Amino acid sequence: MSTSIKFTMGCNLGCKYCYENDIRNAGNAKSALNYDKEAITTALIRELTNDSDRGGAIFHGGEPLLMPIEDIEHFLKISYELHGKSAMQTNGELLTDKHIELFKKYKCGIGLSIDGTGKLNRGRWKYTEEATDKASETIWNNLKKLRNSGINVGCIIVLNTSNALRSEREEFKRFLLDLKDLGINSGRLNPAHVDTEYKEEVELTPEDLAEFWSDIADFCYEHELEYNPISDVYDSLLNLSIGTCFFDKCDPYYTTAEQGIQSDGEMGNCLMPAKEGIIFLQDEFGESLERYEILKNVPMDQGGCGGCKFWNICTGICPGEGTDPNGDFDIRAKSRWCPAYYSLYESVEKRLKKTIKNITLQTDITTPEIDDLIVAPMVTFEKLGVHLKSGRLSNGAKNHNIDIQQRIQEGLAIPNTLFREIKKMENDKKHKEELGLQEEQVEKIPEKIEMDISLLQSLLAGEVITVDVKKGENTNE
Amino acid sequence: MNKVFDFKLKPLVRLLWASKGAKEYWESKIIDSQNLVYNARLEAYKRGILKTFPVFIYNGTHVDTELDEANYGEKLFTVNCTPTKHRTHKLFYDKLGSGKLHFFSNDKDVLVFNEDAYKTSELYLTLGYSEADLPNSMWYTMKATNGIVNPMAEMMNPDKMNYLLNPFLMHLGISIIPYVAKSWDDEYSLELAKKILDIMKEIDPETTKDVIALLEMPTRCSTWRGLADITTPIFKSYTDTTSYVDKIIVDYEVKMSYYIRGFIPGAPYGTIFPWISKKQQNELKK
Repeated sequence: MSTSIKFTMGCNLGCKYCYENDIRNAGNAKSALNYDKEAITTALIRELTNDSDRGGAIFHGGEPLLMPIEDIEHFLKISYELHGKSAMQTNGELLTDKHIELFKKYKCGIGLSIDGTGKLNRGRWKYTEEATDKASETIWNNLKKLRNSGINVGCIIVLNTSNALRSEREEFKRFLLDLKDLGINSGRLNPAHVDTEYKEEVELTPEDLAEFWSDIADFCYEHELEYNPISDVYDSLLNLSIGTCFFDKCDPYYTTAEQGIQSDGEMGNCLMPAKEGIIFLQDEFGESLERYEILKNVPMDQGGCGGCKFWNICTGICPGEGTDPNGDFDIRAKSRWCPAYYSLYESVEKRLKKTIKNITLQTDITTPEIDDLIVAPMVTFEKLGVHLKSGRLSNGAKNHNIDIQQRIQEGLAIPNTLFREIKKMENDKKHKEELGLQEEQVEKIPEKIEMDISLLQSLLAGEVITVDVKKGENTNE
Repeated sequence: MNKVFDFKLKPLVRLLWASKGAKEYWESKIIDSQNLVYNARLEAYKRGILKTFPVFIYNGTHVDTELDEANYGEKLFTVNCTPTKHRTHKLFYDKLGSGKLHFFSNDKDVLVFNEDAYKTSELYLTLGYSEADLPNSMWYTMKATNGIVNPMAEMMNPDKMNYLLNPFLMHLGISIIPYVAKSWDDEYSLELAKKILDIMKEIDPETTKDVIALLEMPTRCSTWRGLADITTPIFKSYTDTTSYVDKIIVDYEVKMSYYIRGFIPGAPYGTIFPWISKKQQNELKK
């Protein structure tokens, strides 16, 4: 889980596919300088102090570099002092040497939003083609500057009609190799989901995306590149990790993967599903996963996920991508690109089976009681005296030859159900404490969680159990 | 009749605030409104205006789902049922706990589970109280009010919408009559609603205004795949319902004035109904 700071939704660019456009179009976005520094500071210190699992602050936006340099330093310093690091997601156009100096000083890694060089980056629109191309050139040069300064950079590449169609493929592959030359071998290839008037102009069809991923998956394999969701698909099939939050169950009104500090210091949700233009408050009663009950029960031929062999590791993808048969956004629906994801899973599954003899993949585990078997994200429950660690050892498939059952018993692969049960206990306790109930009325949380596969099955069958993760603890050493 | 999937979600009511301002202004008003609706119906029952009165007794325990007892006392009959399936607004979570659904009646016959209820449940598939195999307050009340049924198509005719019969917030405990009327202009139901509204005004005229404001808000009710999404300008609410294969959307709007920014305290701008964007509102003003 990360703590993102969305101090503004203002941006120096005007990307037609930005998922915050609905909020801007509604009229609910505040201007760039209208943020409450004091309230954000209080919230940031509270979040980073109270939850040691949080991986430092992630500065997000809008465009975080619109923030005055002294405020940037103020927040980077807090995160550095409390967590030793931070990260920033930026389009990079406004980057200066002073920023780079601060990033080095406070160990801030950069996620650069770039869709390619030249025309490939036209989706990152700056209102005219000329201005857009000029901005793209600046961004590319700034990326090189960051790398030359030794700053860690990962790239978020948004797939859209400017960079992911067949006609642009060779240029796109050259771009990935150019990144590799700069020492950037990994990143994310996120399809743009657009529910505004630009949908048809910008968004890829499921067929286009399936073709893209199929081709690029081969390309990445060949050139040892680790781009998500391709690497995520490898890892989840190997039961190493569920990967990015796109593949995990997520309540759009209580997004556990991302808890964002808003410009007024209030905690908010990830805004990817905010298609109505509304920034809903977090559900004060915590996570609720009715979307997944629905998708699991609606058969595939009726547009659901019921019976899909990839359900456990896909779960219908991020609710922000949910689309009903009329093409309208709806969290009760699975991703609009289901055929593309399905095809990617199938091709990776085929490759793994071909590459590694007798490999047991997640899709081969058919024990009915464990229908929810996916790997928990890295998580530490200090309060419970338990440290569960994700089995994420490395990305990609080339070097893996793993006995899945053994991994479960070693505590390396943690079923998501267990993770949720523990989290639920935590939330219940917190809620009861907030209500001021007496100590004896608060259900005691076990000091130690033990994990064992048979007990785990009992848990999934609804029995009360204790699970042993001794070996999981050993892996943390 | 729409085709339905063979699954049901667990009983569920969620309320998600559209803004901090909306929560601050409306949360206590909603709780007060729920209490007023409860008290007004109880009073209507005592006066013989309503023949049955469904009530949850919040004693922190769950009991079985059968109609397991019918106690006679004075002229009052009571029946317990469906406590494990009850839906209660999450605002009551832990404050009142889960409870026992009790039906009071001065006419024993209206407490008898009947075929009409089953038939009606087939027609009434829009909001909560849709469990086909369980009795509920709406069915009993229908029996008590001349067996009114709800042919949904007529009920949903948007030309005749009237806040007196608005059922869209019923799952939150906010509606005037305790059942879904057979149509928006059903005279019997309108008369009954007016009588209950008068009682509300007697008890608490200020909160009655809030109840009316809530029931007059533009509302979108979208039901699909077992989940009803009821959206007002100040909150979104989810509740379980019948698992329709087809998506059904009903837009309820009775007053254009609600689109004026600031008319509904705390309501943010938005891109789709029941919200409008800042730009749309500026155009409307012109």
